[in-house]
Amino acid sequence: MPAKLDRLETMREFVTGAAITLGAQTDLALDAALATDEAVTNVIVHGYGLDQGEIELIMTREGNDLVIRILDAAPEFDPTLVPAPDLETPLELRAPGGFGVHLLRLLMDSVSYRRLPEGLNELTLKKREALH
Amino acid sequence: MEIGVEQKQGRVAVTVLKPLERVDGSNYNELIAAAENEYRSGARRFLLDLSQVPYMSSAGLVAMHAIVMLARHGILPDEESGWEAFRALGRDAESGFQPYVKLLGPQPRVQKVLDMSGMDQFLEVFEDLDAAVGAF
Repeated sequence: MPAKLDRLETMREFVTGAAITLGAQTDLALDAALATDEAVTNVIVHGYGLDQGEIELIMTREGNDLVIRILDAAPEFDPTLVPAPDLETPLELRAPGGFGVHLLRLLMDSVSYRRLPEGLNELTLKKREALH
Repeated sequence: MEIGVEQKQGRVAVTVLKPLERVDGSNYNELIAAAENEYRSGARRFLLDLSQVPYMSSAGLVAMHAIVMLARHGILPDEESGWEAFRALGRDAESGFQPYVKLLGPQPRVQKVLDMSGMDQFLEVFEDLDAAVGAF
């Protein structure tokens, strides 16, 4: 898909539908769509810097696990290294942002990153025992 | 983004902003812009009516945070300036619910995002409009 924010809703519909087709319950499919939204938004905004680019989404089953792989050609960036936001400090004193990766970690059982030899970022999201 | 705007009067004047669609990375800035527009017209307390928002990502949380900062300090947070800008604004904020922005009627999926993010500690949620307006 083109790395454009106005494609997010279409992307979410794809992820939700594909997850249900693979055997996920609706609520879990919606969680997967939200998690993917967070990851893809980061790629679009911080990876490509809102410039032209493409993002590939691959959704598969590994046993009963739902696996979502997100590939992009943006500069190397490992979102798993983003620190968790400070959830205790009052809002008025807190720097903005940081929620996306936090939600991603809460929604999925596993979030892993690697830089592929062909120069692509690959983020893998996994939800265990999600498919029946 | 289509956003309904209404003025209510409780103990203080409250501006109700009601997005009529999902809030995500593609349109959250429009919600902030709407609040900024109302702020310029004198709004200082905001009630975000989320009853017609079927989906919200963390971008919606960024919008809420920005509106709190706008109502409290009269400026929008600058993501580039980081912690220094925030420390310069003073340290007089109290913990718990802040008094500037409250939420009305979030749908279950939106409430889940609020709960997971911890924002429910700072943003008071109501199910009744009159109770929400009266709580400011």
